[in-house]
Amino acid sequence: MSDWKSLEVFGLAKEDKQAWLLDELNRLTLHHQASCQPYANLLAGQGQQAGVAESLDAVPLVAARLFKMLRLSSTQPEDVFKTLTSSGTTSQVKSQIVLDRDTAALQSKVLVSLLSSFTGKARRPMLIIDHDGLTSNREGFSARGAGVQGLSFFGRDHTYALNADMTPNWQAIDDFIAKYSSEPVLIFGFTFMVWQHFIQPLKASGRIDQLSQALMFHSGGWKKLQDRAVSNDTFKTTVRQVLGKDVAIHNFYGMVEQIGSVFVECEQGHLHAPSYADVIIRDQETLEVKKIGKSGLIQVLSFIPKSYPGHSILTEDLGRLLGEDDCPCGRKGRYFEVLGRLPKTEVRGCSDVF
Amino acid sequence: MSSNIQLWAGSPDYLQWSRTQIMPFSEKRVQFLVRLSEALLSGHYSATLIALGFWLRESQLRQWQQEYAKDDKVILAPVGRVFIVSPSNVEGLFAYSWALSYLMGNQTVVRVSEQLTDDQQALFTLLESLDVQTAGLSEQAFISYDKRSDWTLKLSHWCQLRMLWGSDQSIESIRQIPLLAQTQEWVFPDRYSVSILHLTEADNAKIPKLAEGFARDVSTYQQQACASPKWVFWYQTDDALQQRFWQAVDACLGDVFPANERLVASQYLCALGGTEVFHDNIKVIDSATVLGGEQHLRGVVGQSQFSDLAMIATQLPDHIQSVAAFGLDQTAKVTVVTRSNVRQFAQMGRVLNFDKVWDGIDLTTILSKKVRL
Ligand SMILES: [Zn+2]
Repeated sequence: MSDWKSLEVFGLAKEDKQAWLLDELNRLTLHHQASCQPYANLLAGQGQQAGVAESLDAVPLVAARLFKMLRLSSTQPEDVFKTLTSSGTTSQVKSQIVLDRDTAALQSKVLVSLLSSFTGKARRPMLIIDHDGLTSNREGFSARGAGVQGLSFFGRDHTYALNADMTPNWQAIDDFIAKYSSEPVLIFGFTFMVWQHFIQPLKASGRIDQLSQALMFHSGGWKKLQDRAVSNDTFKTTVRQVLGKDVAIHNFYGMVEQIGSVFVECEQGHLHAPSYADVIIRDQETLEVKKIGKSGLIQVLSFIPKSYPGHSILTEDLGRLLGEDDCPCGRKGRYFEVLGRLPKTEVRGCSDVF
Repeated sequence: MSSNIQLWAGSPDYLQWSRTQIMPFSEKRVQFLVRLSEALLSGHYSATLIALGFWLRESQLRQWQQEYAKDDKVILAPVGRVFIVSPSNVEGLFAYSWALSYLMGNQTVVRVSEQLTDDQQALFTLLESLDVQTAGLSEQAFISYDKRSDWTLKLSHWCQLRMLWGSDQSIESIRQIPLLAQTQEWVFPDRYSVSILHLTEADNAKIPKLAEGFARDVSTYQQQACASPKWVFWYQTDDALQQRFWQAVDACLGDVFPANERLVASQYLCALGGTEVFHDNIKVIDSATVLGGEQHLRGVVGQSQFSDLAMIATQLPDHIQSVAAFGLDQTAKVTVVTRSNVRQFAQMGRVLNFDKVWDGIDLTTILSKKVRL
C-alpha cells in the first residue's frame, strides 16, 4: 500500500511528484498486465513494456473510449463491489468501470483529503443540487450518483434540492436556508443543473443572499452552458449575486473512467492536479507531449485505479497546460484549463441513424 | 400519428396514385435521369453526388436498356409500387436504388431519416427543380417521418415491394411490421468486407497504384462503409512486398484519420489479441483470425497471412460482402465463393462504386418482373 496519506495534497513539486507517482504507476501497469488479459494483450500488441517507464509521459496509456467497447477489469468477478457507468443518453454506449472494495474505499479517502483541503476538516451542512433517487441502485451506478455519493462524505444533514422532475423542492430548500443561512455550508451539483435548476429559480423567486457562507463545488462540463453563452466568469458572478458575494466557487474536472482523480479549480480559476494525480497534454494529430501554454488532448494519471486498468487514460477532452508549480495561489503541481470535447467524428458506416 | 410527414421532393399524393402504363426504360424516365446526371456532373456538387451523376450517364443507361432489349421470350414490366427505406448516412444508397426503381417504371416512395445531410439536401433541391421543368417525379416521393409514427405500416401495406437498407437492428425493427402475402421484400443489412491480395515480385511496379486504390477504398468520404475492406488476407505474399504495400498506402492517406481514432481502433484490436505491425497514417494489426468485426473502427486495418485460399474462405464471416481482390484468377475466386458467403468481388479502388448488381442481387431484375410470353 502506498504512503499517499503522508503527502501534502498540493505540496509536491515536479521532481518529488515524478518520483512518487511514477513508481506507483509503474507498479499499476505491472499489476494490470498480470490481472487483466485484454490489457496485457493491448500492451503486447503495441509492443509496450510494463513497469519500465522512466517518465510520467512514458507510462502506457489507454484510450478512454476503450472502456465503452470492452469490459476492462483487473478484479475477480466475486470481488466486484460495484460497476460505474458513464452518464449519457440511452442510445449511447456507456463506459463500464469495475470497482472492488479497496479501490472504492481508496477513492473516497483520497477525495476526502483532496476536497477537505478546500472545505476544512469540519463537515458542513450539505445541499445537493439533484434529487435523491440517484444513489439507490448499485448495479449500473451512474457517474452522477457516484459523484454525489463521493462528495456526501464531506457533508452532514444532506439535503436534496430538487424533485425527481428537476423542479426545485422549495420546502427542502427553504428549510435548509432557515436552518443554515448564517453557517458555512457546502453546495454540490452538476454545473448545468446548478445553473438551470437551482440558481435561475432562486433568482426568479427572489431568494437572494440567503446562503452567503456557502462553498460550492460543481462539475460536469460546460457544453450546455456554452450553448447558452454562459462563461465560467458569468457563472461565478451570477452565483455570487444570488447566493452571496463571498461564496467560494470551485469547478472541478474529472471523469468516470478515472473517478477519484479530481482536478479542482483554485481561486485563480485554474484546475490543479493534486499530488496523487497528474495531467499531460498531447497533440491532437501526433499524440506527442505538449509544453506549457499549448493545447491538446488531456491525458490523466492516477495511482488509484487498482481494480481496472485506468491509471493512465487519454481522454477525448481538450485542454491547455497553463503551468507547473508556480500558480499564484501557491499550490504545487500542474495546472490547466479544459477547452471542451474533441469534435465528434461522425460514425458513418453501414450502420445507420434512422 | 399520421402527422408530421415531410416531403422533400416528388409528389405528395402517393397513397392515391393510380395505375399507370409506364414501362421499364421509358424514354421520358431515361431523359429525366440523363438530365439529373448532367446537372450533377456540371454543377458544384460533392464527390458523392458527382459519382452518382457519373453512374447515371446516358451511355450507361442505354447499355442496361440493351441488355434487356434482346430477350424476346419475356416482356419486362414494372413491379408497381415500391417502398424504399434508406439510412441517412450513406447518401448514395437511396439515390441509386431509387434511380433503378424509377428506371424500371415503378411508383416509388423513398423514406430517408429526418436529419438530412448536405448531400441529400442538395440532391432534393435539384430533383425538385428538374421536376418543376419536366413533371418527371409525379409518381415519386422522397419523404421523412417520425419512425414511431404509423407511416411505415401504411406504406408497407401500400407497396408491392419493400426494400430496406440499414443496420441489422433497424431492419429487424421494420420487419416487425408484417407485409401482406402478395408483397415482396429485399433487405440490405450490415455487411463486412475484406481484401484478398496475392502479390509477387512481378507486381512490384503495380504496388503504388494498388495502394492508391486501397487508400481510396478505406477512406472515401472518410468512412468505412460496408463495402470498404477492414481486413487484408495476404495470400502467398512475401513480407517485404506487404511492407512496401503498407508504406505506399500510408503515403496516400495523410491525416485522413484523426490520431485518436487510430489509437482507439488499434488498442481495441490489440486488446482482442492483435499485434500492431504498422503505425503511421493507418495502423495495421496482424492476427491469425479476423477481430473486431462488430465495431466501426477507423484508421485501422487488420491482416492475416495464408498460403491456402480455401483457408482464407473459411475465415470470412457470414455477413461478408465485398472482396477487393488482386492476383486472383477466376478459379481462385470460385474457390472463395464456394466456401464462403462472399457477395461480390471488386477491383482495388473501386469497392465503393455502386453497381446495379449489388450484394449479389441484380437490382434491375428485382425491381421489375419478367412476364413470360
Ligand atoms: Zn492555483
